[in-house]
Amino acid sequence: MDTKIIAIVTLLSPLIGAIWARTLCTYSNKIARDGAMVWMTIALMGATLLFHLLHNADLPLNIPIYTWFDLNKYHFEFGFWIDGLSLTMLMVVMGISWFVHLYSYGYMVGDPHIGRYFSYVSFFTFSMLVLILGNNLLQVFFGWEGVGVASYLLIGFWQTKEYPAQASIKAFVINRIADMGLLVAIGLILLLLGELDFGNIIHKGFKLVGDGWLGWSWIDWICILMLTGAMGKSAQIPLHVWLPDSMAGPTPISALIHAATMVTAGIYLIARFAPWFEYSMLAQSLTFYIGILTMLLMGLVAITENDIKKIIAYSTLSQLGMMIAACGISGYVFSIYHLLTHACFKALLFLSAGGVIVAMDHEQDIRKMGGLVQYPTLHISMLIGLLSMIAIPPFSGFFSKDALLLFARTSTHPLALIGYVLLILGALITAVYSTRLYCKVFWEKPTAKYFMSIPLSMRFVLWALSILSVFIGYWTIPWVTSSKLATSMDLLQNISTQATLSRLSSPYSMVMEALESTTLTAIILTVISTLYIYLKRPHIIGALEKRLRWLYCAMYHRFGFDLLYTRVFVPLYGCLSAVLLKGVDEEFVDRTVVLGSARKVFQLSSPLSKLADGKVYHYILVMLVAVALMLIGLV
Amino acid sequence: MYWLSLLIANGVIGALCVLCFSRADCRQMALINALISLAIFYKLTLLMNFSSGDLQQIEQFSWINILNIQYFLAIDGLSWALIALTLVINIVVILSSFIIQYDRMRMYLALFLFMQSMVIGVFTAFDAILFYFFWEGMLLPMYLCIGIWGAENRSFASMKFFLYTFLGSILMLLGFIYLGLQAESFSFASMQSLQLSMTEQLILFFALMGAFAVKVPMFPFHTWLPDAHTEAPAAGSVVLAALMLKVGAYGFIRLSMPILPDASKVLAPMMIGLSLISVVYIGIIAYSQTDIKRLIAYSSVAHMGFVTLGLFLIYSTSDAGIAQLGYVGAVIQMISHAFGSGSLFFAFGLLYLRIHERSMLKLQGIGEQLPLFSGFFMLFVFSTIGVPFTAGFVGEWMVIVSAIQNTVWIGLLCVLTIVLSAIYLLSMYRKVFFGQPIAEVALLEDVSWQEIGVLGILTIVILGIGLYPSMLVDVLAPPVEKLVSASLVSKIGIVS
Repeated sequence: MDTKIIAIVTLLSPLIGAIWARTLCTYSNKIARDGAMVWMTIALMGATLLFHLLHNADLPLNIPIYTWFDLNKYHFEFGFWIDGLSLTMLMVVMGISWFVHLYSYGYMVGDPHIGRYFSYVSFFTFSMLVLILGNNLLQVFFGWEGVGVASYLLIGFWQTKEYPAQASIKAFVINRIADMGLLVAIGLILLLLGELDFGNIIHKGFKLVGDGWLGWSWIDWICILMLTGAMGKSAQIPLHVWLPDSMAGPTPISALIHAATMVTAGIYLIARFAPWFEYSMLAQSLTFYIGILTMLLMGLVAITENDIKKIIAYSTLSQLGMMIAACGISGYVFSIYHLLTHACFKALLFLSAGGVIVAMDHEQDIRKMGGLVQYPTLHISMLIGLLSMIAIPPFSGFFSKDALLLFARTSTHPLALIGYVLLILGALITAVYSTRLYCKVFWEKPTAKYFMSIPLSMRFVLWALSILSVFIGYWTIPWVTSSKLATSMDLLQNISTQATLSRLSSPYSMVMEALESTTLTAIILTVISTLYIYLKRPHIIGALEKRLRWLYCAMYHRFGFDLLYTRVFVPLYGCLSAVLLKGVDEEFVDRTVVLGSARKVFQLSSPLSKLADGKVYHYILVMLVAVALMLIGLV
Repeated sequence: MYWLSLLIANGVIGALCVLCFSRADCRQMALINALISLAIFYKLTLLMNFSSGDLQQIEQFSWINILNIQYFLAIDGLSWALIALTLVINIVVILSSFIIQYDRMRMYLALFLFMQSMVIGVFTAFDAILFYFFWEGMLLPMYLCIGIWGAENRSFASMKFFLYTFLGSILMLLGFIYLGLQAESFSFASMQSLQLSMTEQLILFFALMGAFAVKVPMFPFHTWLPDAHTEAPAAGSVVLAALMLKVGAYGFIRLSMPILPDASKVLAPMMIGLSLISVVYIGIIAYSQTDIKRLIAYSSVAHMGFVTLGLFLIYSTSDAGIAQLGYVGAVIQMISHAFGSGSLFFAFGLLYLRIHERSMLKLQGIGEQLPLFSGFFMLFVFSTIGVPFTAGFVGEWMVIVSAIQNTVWIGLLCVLTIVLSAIYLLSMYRKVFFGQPIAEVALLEDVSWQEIGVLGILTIVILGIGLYPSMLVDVLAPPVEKLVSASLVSKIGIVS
């Protein structure tokens, strides 16, 4: 079969599913839901077929579909751009989306709007596919905004509650602030290169070096603006505040938005423009520091958080920071590799957390949990997810994180050394909050009296994702180490990337080396000591909280970012708007200038006030007479 | 055949028929008339040559010989697109009369049919006096529409609307008379070839701007619009937003810029500045509105800022491609704003029909109670916010990208709109549609099949333009190329 047709079917199936579910949801929720699931399965099969056919083909493949518009020198054509990077993203997105659809069968059962829910999820998947398969930056922007809309709809899905309403608008607006960056970047690229097709711009980064604006070269500007865009979608400091609040949506959505898809869009964008970031030291170091800052601060916040979904959300922020930081030291391949494994184990974690929440009868506070060890499915799946995140061999997270650390150690990049040290610190923080979560949820004394049972479709997804979280890291090594992925980011010449990839291609020796390394030892020691403290010596925590009061406060209040937004920016904007409206628009422009001058005219014409009796035809008459007089005068 | 005259006459005849002959159901008669207009327009479309930017289907007769005033109608791609917009909006208005009942229905429909003819007349007239004739002809039905079928405060609003816009058009008429006497002809073409000094051009520019800027409306001439919109009935608001505002921008396109290129160039920074104020400042104050119709009206002003911005950006670039991108973007923004804001006004009209409440503070939980309706409303909100896949994105994006290429600072300011519009419209959506339905809302019924039909038409147009703007761009590009070059030719030799 033709690749083009398969690609189109893969792309459009989720959209058809979305339209199907949205139109039929008022008629029958069941038909809407099942239809969306069928279309999603078709899309998954299409994606798998596409991967199967193309993973050995000559890449990249540019498949134009239709012209958006042509005008003078501008030509905007939509189509597919298929290379190692987009194939990787395709499989991640489709796989997780399909699992989330299936899981939602059980999780959303009984919800009166389940049809609409499936429609939104399918639309989300469609937008994501537009984003990652697009062959030009404009199409990426289409997907980019579409994803934002879908996340807005999904976070606000439970629309009768107050919190989702607030969280959804927050997510959309903050994403839009970041999108301004991407939009300006698109404008600048059009200005300098005249087009947006990947095939024609990716390798022209050198043209943007040199000349610039306000002292920075164009490539610096464009990369920084793209980074701004990425900071919104991938939730980096200071634009990260939407992500923890987006937990207001249904839990499978948290998995979909956080684990697999939306938050990886920013990293995808940076990886896609890797050749450009290579030209801009400024943008790279900014990427690096923002990533590191997010990784450390958000990891610390995760330690003090008490809501199970928010802990995982903050851990996502921390892991995303790690990936962004890796991009900052040119480790794009390993960033994408970590993105891939992270998608699996984070989806697993979120969906397990969903299971925990269902089992605890919709309780999310981990202080009220405990004793869930009697649920083997939940226990094992959560354990696998956490171990994978902590990077214990042979779980999948180990391979990606270790490869990342290995790269940082061997890289010749000027920031690599400091990166290596800080990334290890980040890994240790990960170990602390993961262990804490595990102890609190599963081992501490149970407080709840009864537990609910979990539907089969949810259990099935948990098992499947558990298996993936164990093995995906190992299974994908041949794909990651093949030249496809590195070629798509133009990294074949990068020596440290190649060296790390060749180390990665022998996973057995990698595990052996890691077992002797200080990094893994430190991580395991951290895990053991955290376990010991939480299970045997809980009073130490209290003592620590008292001793390090200031740090605890800062962490507990999430370093004040949320307060800054809710207490400063939002009221300030409201004030500004109200003052401008009352003071300038209504008082000055309307009342003083417009109506004031009208009143003046009436006052001055008071002798004629008999005419001004409020009947328009009198005014018209007067005006027509005046016009006639003027006409005569002019003639 | 005089298809253009026929198209204009058809609306007037329809209006008279509806007014005089119809008894039982004037709505069907109006609908049939609108469909006949559509058929005439279809015939006209077949006769058009879209690859040429020249005037076509010219109908030229002398009218008042002594002053050399002509009856001069013609059409090009730009006019064609705007006529298409007029007809679609009018069909929507007439269909909506099947849903929203008013008393004095015959007069109501006759007014809208008459207005359709006048608006088409404005878009096809190429003689200044004829243009003025249609321009004023459009004003009266709107005045009556607000004055008769408006809400509580209608007499104030209609009076403000009428006097404000009429005052502007008087200035325009004076400008026309001066130009016509100088050129010894009132046709646009002869005015365009007229040599004018800088002082003359500046004075004339302000005279014409009096009419056009009020209609667009540009800051600071916008204060009539929120009042007019708030008081107007739903269909009145739709026509006001979708058509009335467009003739202002059309005036800049067809008259101010080609006839007064040097003044336009000198005053372009002022126009760009006012447009940016419209976009940013109006975008900020829209957030404080609590009346939903007022809010949509303010968002109209902000979005029309993009039209004038795109138009006057051509004077600050030497690159024809960038200029055309902004210019075509401005025209597409005119059309997409018509559908975005028009749809919002129409959809809100349906809501108002049910609950008779305009304040967003007194509404809550519509989304839960009216799921289908809220789905459509959401789509219109997204189109107005400028989300890709919808019409609202296309024009806005073209203008923004053109502005960034033009002068980075202008681009940075106007790109703010994507955040500002999201803030005010989504805050409104949240207050009205989210939450538990309050007691009054819990009694409401969701949209009927007829209403879905009309909303569906608007949805298809919005998504169609968003996904495939090529059909519009291809039609607009040739005339725009001509207009841009005409607007850039200096009339006084050396331009400072």
